[in-house]
Amino acid sequence: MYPDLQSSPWFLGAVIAFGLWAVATGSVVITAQRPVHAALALVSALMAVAGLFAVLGAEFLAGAQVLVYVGGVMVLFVFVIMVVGGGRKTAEVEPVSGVRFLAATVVVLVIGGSIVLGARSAQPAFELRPGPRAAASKDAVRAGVSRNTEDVGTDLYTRAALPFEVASLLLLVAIVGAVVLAKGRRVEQDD
Amino acid sequence: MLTTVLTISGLMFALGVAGVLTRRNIIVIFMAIELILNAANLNFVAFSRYWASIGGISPHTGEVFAVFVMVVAAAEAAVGLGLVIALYRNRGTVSVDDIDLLKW
Repeated sequence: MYPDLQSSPWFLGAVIAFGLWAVATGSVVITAQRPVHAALALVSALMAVAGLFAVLGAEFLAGAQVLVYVGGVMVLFVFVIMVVGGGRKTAEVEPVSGVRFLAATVVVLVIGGSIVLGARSAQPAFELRPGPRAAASKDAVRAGVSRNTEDVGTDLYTRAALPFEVASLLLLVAIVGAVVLAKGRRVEQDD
Repeated sequence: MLTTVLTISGLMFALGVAGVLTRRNIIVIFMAIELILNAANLNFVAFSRYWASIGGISPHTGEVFAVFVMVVAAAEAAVGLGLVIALYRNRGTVSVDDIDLLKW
């Protein structure tokens, strides 16, 4: 990986910053009065953990964390809160005037800025190099691009192939179980 | 740096346990469980990185473990939230104070 990063103050500073972020929002999760606030704080904490994963060199896990947790599990949580009804008070449509415009501006600036910066800094990675895989990956390392996803994927499909298949079976059973549990017995309720 | 990450992970685990123990809304309890699982994942990744930094073989084992923890967490959230919906339909509440049928 990048052993030179490990001793740099940038590395420790990023770890501490993401860690403080995770712990602060994590404490909001367990102290928020309404479940929706807890869910939003948990989204923030999970993003901080994804940042920690990225700083620690586990880029694949950082992406999977955002996709699976923030994009999947937390949406499920918010849906269930919507169905069950989380808060005692009814939420105002817009508590502060113009807060939606502010939020939209911040989101567009942050996401757009990171896309622009990322595209600019990752420019050498998109050069297609013919030749053997080892040479290409060496070039990728020299260009500052991690091989983390490739390495984790290789491990998943070779050494951990059997647990991988078992995990897919577990997910299938979980899907069926969730559908069966949430569907209920409408026939008996009609009786 | 390993100790820093382990400290963060320990704090997140403690927060999760405190949430499971103190909150009464079952949805918030599930969220606290997600915090605990993330703390475990953080430990896996930190030790994976540490193992790589001291030159150990197959340094991505911890990350593979974290992937499986993520799979189990997704399955747990799906089944658990299905249970919450079934419970709410039958009992009309999601407070664990009201769901004490199996308590001694």
